[in-house]
Amino acid sequence: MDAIRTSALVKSYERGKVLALNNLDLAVPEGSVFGFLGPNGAGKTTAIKILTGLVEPTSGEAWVAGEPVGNASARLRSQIGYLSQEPRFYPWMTGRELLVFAGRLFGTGAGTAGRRADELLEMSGLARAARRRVGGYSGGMVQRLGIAQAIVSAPRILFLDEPCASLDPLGRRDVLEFIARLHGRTTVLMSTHILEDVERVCDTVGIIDRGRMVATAETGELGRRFAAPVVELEFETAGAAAAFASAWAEFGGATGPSAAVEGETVQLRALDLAQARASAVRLVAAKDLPLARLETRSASLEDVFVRLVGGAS
Amino acid sequence: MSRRPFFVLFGKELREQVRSYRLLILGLVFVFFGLASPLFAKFTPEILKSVGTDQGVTIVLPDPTAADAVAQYVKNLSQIALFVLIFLSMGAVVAEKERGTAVFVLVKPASRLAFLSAKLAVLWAAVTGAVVLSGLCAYGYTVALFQPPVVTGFMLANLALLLHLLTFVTTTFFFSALARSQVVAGVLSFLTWILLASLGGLGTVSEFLPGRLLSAAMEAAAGVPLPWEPLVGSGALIALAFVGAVLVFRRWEP
Repeated sequence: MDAIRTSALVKSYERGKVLALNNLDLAVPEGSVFGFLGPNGAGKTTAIKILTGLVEPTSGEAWVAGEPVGNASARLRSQIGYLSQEPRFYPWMTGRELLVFAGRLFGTGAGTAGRRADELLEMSGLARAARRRVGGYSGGMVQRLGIAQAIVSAPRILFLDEPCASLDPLGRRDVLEFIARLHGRTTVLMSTHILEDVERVCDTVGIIDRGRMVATAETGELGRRFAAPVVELEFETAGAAAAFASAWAEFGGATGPSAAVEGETVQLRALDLAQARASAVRLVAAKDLPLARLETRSASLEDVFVRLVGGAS
Repeated sequence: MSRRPFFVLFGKELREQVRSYRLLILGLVFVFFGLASPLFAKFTPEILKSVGTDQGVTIVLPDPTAADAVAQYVKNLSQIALFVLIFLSMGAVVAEKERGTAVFVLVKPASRLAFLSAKLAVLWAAVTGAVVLSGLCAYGYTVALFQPPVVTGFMLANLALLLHLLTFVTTTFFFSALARSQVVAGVLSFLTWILLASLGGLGTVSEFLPGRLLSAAMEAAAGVPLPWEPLVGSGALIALAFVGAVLVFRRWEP
């Protein structure tokens, strides 16, 4: 069953002149950690704002936890947690007060909300700053507090908009480990443009570009489906790399796999990896070029991303 | 609307008013004018007389009465105190939109109606408390310096004054929900105040405007019953401003 689903979702601004979402179709399976990937301005934040009931779509439909999305649905909002891209909280509240306040908005009693707040402060490493005002927190502390308030009600579905922004490497590692632990228990939709984060924690990936979903697949499968594997050759000189590329173009003709040169390195993208590798080795030997390294690898998420949205970014 | 989020938000608003010192400032301003108004009424004629005597001019002024003290009190609270009140309440909604804190609350199971109602309820409670404090101070000093005013008349005068202040607090609240910045909300609120004040000469219509409440307050202190027209007019304006605030805030998108 899909925990989140959208159908032909459209959001336009300035009387249709700016199209933030263009018939977005999205399906996020229950219990998955879904990486919502796209370049800046692709529509990730707009989609999340619609799904959390903060923004009304221009047209199309969306469901979260089986509930139709709309800003009037308190039942929907009782099942979700949300961390915005740039979380902002009341600077005059202490960290603990903020979490108690957030918990009580879900109908929890003061005592239970206090215990939950203490638990979350401990978990997010903010226990020592619990009685300090949020206005004095660093960017990383605010981000961790943001994640804590997002899960204060143990939500069924969690929306995280760029959760690792403004975190140092250690904070980022902690957050990613935390998200990974939610797998199977909570459905997580995490927007990001950091490919490495997606590869680390997400089991499913959706790539959005200019308001449209351009690819959705399991993380490991995405490379196989949307980008050819790569043969990478590194020569001892840039001249040798250029000579190889030139010879490869003659050898392969217009229909063969293309060669991309960058300094001493040449990348060949081919659907038949074994054949491309054998042809490359034969060509290097025939031209007697000084080869330093030859490597074959399957397409990475970055390769897929560049292929699918490279033109836009 | 579930009542629980309303009370949680009400508590938060109240704490915010206290910690931002807004409640303290409001209280001090109103207490000051409550205490100072009878003093102004008592001593202004004497100051004017002494200034006139120094310059060889004889100024003849009637002896001040409790009615003058009430008139001074109504004028001060409806002008300088109202100015401060608009200044303190113009950011009620728009500040949360600007800072981004509204988003944090609105994705929780608290409706936009509860969000607004709690804010307005705390503003109203603060203004009511301030008027009560100010009224007690003004009454005490009026008794000390003049003849004691009729208690029921003085209470009715305060009621009319309170309704006048609540009307403008609620219109300011509407502009705070509508505007994109505190400055715009403030400017629109002050312009509305000036506009409504300048419509005072419009015959029958002016009877329904909140400005009529001020003269009614002064008359009430002298035992004249409050007229129904400005009560209805101000009540309608309050209802309109609140409904307007709810409608525009429902459409607001962060």
